[in-house]
Amino acid sequence: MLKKSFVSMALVAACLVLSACARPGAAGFPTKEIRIIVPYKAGGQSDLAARKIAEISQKQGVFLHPILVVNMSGANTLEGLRAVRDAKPDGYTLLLHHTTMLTMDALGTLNLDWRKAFDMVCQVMEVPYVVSVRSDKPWLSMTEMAEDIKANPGKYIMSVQGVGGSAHFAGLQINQALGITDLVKYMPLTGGNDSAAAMMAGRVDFRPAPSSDVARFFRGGEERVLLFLSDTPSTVYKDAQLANELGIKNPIKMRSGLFTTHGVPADVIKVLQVGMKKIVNTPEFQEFMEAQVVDGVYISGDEWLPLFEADAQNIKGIAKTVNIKQ
Amino acid sequence: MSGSLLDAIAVVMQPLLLLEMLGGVILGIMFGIIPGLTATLAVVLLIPLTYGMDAISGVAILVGVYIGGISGGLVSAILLGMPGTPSSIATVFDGFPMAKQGRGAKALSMGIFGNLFGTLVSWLFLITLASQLAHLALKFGPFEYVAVIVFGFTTVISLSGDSIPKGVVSCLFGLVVCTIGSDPVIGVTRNTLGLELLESGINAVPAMIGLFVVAEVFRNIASESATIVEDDLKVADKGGITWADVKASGWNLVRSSLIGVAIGMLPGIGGSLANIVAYDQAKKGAKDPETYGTGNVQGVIAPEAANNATIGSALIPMLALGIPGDVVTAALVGGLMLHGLQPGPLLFVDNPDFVYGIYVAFLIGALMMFGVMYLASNSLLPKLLLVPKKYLLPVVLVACSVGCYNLNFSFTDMWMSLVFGFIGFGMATLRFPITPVVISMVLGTTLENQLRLALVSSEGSPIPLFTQPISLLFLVLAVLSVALALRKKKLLAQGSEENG
Amino acid sequence: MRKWTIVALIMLAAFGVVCMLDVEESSFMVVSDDLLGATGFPRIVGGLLALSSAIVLAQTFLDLKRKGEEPISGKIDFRTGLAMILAVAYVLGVIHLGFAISTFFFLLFLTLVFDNLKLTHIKGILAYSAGLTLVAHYFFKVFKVYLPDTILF
Repeated sequence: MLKKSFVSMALVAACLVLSACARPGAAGFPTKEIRIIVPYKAGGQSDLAARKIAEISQKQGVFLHPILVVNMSGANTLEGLRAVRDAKPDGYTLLLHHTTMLTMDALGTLNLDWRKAFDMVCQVMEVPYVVSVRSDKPWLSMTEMAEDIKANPGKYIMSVQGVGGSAHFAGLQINQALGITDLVKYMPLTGGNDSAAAMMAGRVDFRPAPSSDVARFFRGGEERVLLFLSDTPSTVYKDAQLANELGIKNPIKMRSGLFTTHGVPADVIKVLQVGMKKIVNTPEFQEFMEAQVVDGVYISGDEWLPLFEADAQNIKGIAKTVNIKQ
Repeated sequence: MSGSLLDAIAVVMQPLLLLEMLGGVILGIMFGIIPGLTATLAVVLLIPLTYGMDAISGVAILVGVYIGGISGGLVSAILLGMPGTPSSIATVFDGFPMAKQGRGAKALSMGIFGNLFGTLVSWLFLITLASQLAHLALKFGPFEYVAVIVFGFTTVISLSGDSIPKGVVSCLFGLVVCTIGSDPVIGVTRNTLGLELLESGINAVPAMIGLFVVAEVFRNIASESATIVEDDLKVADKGGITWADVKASGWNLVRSSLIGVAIGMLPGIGGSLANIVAYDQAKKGAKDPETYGTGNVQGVIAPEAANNATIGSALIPMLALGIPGDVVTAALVGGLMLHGLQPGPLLFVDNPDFVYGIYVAFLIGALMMFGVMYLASNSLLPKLLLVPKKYLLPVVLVACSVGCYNLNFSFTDMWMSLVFGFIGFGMATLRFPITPVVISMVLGTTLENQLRLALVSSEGSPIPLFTQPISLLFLVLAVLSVALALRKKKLLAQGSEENG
Repeated sequence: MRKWTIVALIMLAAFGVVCMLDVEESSFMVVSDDLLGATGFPRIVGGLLALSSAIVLAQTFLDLKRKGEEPISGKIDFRTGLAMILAVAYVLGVIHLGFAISTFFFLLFLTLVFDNLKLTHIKGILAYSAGLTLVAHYFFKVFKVYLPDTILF
């Protein structure tokens, strides 16, 4: 009898201990709202991804408390970055950012050491770049356009939607591989919307841009995609050429994901990773990504870091060849 | 097509949604009334709360909030001498003198009518000519923008008060302030004077709030009366809108609304400029320009019609092309995409009921705004005049700090509202005109950006500025505007010489 | 007033000159024909500001000699100065100490300044300060506004 009650008490105790372990993280993280800081204005691509994450988390109860998105676009993303760097390392302040941090680093405009300031939580999406032109242009392939450019140096204009940004670097990488870097003019614009408007009005001839910027104009028939900067073909841009067809090695891709303040306990990060993996892999998130012709790919922080580092080296290489002084 | 319209009406006219829209409009109006809290802020803060809703409900509420916010600004502009939002800056010029003469209720009524008129005019353009206008807006390239901005700058001359040279100094000060922070083209940091705080540059909205609201608070501290407007002059008149009033304002209403529509449609110009340009043009076109600034009701109607007219036209490039022009429409685009809708020409084809829904919601929001404000203007709002300033002004200062911080969660913005409050105080005390600073801060960064882009596109040649039709048109308008202003000043001076 | 105007104009001119000079040289550019560059516009407007300030300065100086001093616009007294100091303290407090506590004390002290520092209405003022701070606090909670961590609340 005593043995039985002892066994049942031990079982109960074991269950309690196990459930405490199952409730993840330091002291039941999260116990309040988690904030994702987006260093861009509301309505942009990063902002939308963060908000989709927040929406899914709330609808499906992934995290027990709401996720809030905070837009801090001041000082060319630096205000948002600094806010996360200086926050308490308790895991409640996250940063959604991407490859542009590396391009700014390569240009010396970052003013902080991202490797020291942040811990990487996970990647949430991969945004491939494309080169698109207005659909009434005669070129049906990137090769055709490159030939036209070589035949008429200085005539055609490339849009740079954010000088020093990752789209700019993608464009530089492409131009270099095609040998047309000095044969086109560059129009410095601010952001995807500016670039889309300029293209529609005919003020630029082609634009390297993240796929998500171009998707709705492609679907609307206003733009044609000549190049899909990847080695694997796109299911949407069926007629576009691929990177390896044009001899572009290590095509740049925008990797976007979550960072947090350096020093957050490992078990808290684990909780975040488990939750985010769930969110990224939901059909809803995947559908949302597909609608923008972007890939929702979860990669955990430690696997993501070497990929991000490789991108950093790639970008440094591009920067060097275009004579960028630091 | 009419099937979709009827469907849309049915979707929008549901009791719950109508109630939510009304709540949104009232909230927006409150944000508009409190100086320091802006209409944009109201929309941005409300966006997360609309996520759980379907697309049309969310957008309907946000549009209502924005209409309320822009409209509410006139209340404190007239009754307190502080614009409730940056789009009502020019309303102070004649609205506050009217309140001081005991004609505050009239100013409110006519201003509210101007709000309604402007909103409806831009609504008409939205539902009929959206596509054509959007494509016209696309034709505005860098040179056209430079010409439009030059035209915008001509308002500095007539809004410099008594001293044009001081006005020019103010204007140039604003332009130099614009160069602090990041270069708009390349992103190089400049003129930060070594302060990290200045790296984000100085945004126009906190500066405007500082110059017109915070400065005004400081100026009111030492004044003798316990309330902002003197006791015995408070509520002498009754408000109300008569047919005679409407007739007298007809041309002003139409012109100001058209100005608002035009400015609202061009991304990057800043809707907050519309009220100043409209006021300036009303003054220039009037038979009695010398009465502007002393309590001419047309000086209230013009800015209010214009600022509301920017609302509908700001939606035009967003809906027709999928290209947002300002923070609010960018946030709306984001909201639509979160719901799986793609703004742009396809929206009209794939989701016509959604587009019609926006049209219906916009109209309802406008009517709600008018109803609420008109009802409040006769009894509730003039009570604001009775609040002692020792309770009112500290609240305004807190609202300015809170409002500016919340724009971008930036402490720089909060500091700037205070710093520009000091600057505005100093300027007013030394009789430097403040409006030119605002004009140049709204236009300065865009001017530099477009000017450099223009030179890049023309390989350094300024000639297209004079040869391209649209830019030539605006340059001619600018020259005419300056000539008219100078001629009027001359005539006034001659007139007073002859009489005096 | 004219003397103060002259001081202000000197500061403006200096500001204009500083902004002509304080530009970091750009580290890269793959954009051709950007004639003005990052330095062009600041130099032009900075120079124009300095020039126009100097002209108005000269005018004001001559007016001072010919017409003498002019009274300032509006009334200023020590309360204005106190209010300005309180405002600066408030912003510092919000950033470092905490929003609610700074707002409460700011409302309290500023209202007292209006009352010429007399404590006659102190109960009403305390109620007003506490009430409004609660409203603001609630506003931040409802809209889930982001505030970075501070020492107090």
